[in-house]
Amino acid sequence: MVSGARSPDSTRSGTEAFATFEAFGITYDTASEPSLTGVTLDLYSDRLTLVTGPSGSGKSTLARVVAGFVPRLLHGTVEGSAHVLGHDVESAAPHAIIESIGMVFDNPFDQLTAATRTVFDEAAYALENEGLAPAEIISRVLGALESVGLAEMAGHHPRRLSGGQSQRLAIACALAQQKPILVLDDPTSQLDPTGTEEVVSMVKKLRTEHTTVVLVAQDLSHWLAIADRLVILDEGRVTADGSPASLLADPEPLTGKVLIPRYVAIWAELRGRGMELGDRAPLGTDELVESLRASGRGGGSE
Amino acid sequence: MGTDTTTWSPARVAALYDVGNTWLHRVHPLTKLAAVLPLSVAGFAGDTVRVPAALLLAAAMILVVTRLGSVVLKSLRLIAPMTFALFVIHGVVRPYESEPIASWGPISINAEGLALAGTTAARLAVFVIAVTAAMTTVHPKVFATALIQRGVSHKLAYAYLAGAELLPEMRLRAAQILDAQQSRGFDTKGSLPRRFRTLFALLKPLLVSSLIGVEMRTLALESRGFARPGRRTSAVEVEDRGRLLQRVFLLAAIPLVVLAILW
Repeated sequence: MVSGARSPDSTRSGTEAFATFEAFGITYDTASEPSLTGVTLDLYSDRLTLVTGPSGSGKSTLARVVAGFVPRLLHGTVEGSAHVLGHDVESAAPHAIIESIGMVFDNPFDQLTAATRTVFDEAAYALENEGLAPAEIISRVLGALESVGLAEMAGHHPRRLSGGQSQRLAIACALAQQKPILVLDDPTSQLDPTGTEEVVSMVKKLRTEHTTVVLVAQDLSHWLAIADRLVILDEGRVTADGSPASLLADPEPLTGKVLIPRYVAIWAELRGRGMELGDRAPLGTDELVESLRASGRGGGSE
Repeated sequence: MGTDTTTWSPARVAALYDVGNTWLHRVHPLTKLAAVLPLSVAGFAGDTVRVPAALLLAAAMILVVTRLGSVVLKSLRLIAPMTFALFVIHGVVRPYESEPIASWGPISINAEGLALAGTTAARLAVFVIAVTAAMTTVHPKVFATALIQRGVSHKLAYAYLAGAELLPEMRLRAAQILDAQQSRGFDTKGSLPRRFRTLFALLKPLLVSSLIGVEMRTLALESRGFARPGRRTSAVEVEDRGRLLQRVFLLAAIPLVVLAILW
């Protein structure tokens, strides 16, 4: 467990850091307390970095710094430094970072432009602003919609989409822009189980395609299996950083700061009662079942 | 209050594109926009009902031919309350020197007042039908693209498109808030004071949620290059034509405006 120190990211293997935070802190102009303070962290390409923590811990602010919104659009007093894609977040040209990083917000509907009448137009909006040729726009948009499974809904009004479909559309917008990095700010927090499953499947697919993802989530249960790294924030500070299996191997100190998935809680409880389940926390229900089978006491008879 | 967003509203008129391929649909969007100006002003260029009545007759023929009558005529609901008020004020309330055509005690109906109310209502109807016919036969996206092609700021085009879409969204949000309040036992029906209380109870969450939504939408728009400098393109190609006709319509509006002012 690390606090304020450089990330030990054990999952890193020869990839480059696309974002670097050095004792970074930010206090919004509209707030008296800092949202982030003393954050020292590297975020690597071709990784899914899962960021979690209690409400008000600074997760969304971290996501917005990475996406280039803070402090260029959402102003505040900065301490330390942060660089994203080589740009200093404080002095970068307004759109240097924003245009390179795709952002998906928690509210599936408020992040739509509200100026388009079809799913196709919504996904094409950014490309039109880039001034691309019509043929290029059509090709990219159809490809992105196909990729997120919305090609058949291209002619539908965006307001007719479900929450899960809207989130997939937001991802499609970023894919159409061919942004190399995606920041997802609690993308399933306002979705029903079906919508959540749609988005989780989508993100899993992105991981198989090696898209770099920074994912903020309060409920870890869906994400641990695909996360390369888990960063835990509390009161604006990084309080833990490492591989999900190692950090959750001892979930007790994280209680109250992290919503421990049930499969991890069950594993820890059984382990605490003396079952031999190994030192590696399960990252999904399947892994828990596997651990139980391996211990020779699972398999449905007990 | 339900969550049905298909109910007619002024905002829906702006967004009320009626899919079709009539000759009116095929007219360049800016030509239609340019035509609205002289047509609307022409109704005022005279002190009788004849000009607006003739225009209404022409509009009716066009609407029959293009089969857009029912869609466009719905927009006249907009001016129905005003029309009723015009007839009451001019035809019944306002005193005239001429003899009334009918009297019941203090209430008298005056032909001069009815004619004035009819003329004003016809002028308004011409304007509303012209605007609605133009907007109903052009896809908002095509209209915005045509505007941008002619050098109008993409931000203004966004304002047009968003204006058409955001009001129904606000209605939906308000309906959801009211539904939530009702589900918690808040009585939203009944006497006038109770309805006022409902309005105030609705305003705060509506305002707060809208402001939060605006911040997120602003960031999302930035992420999609809204403020990016440089040329815009469109996935929808709009042929740039009809410039001469557009100029003719705009030039025709000038003498009509003068006539309308002098008359």
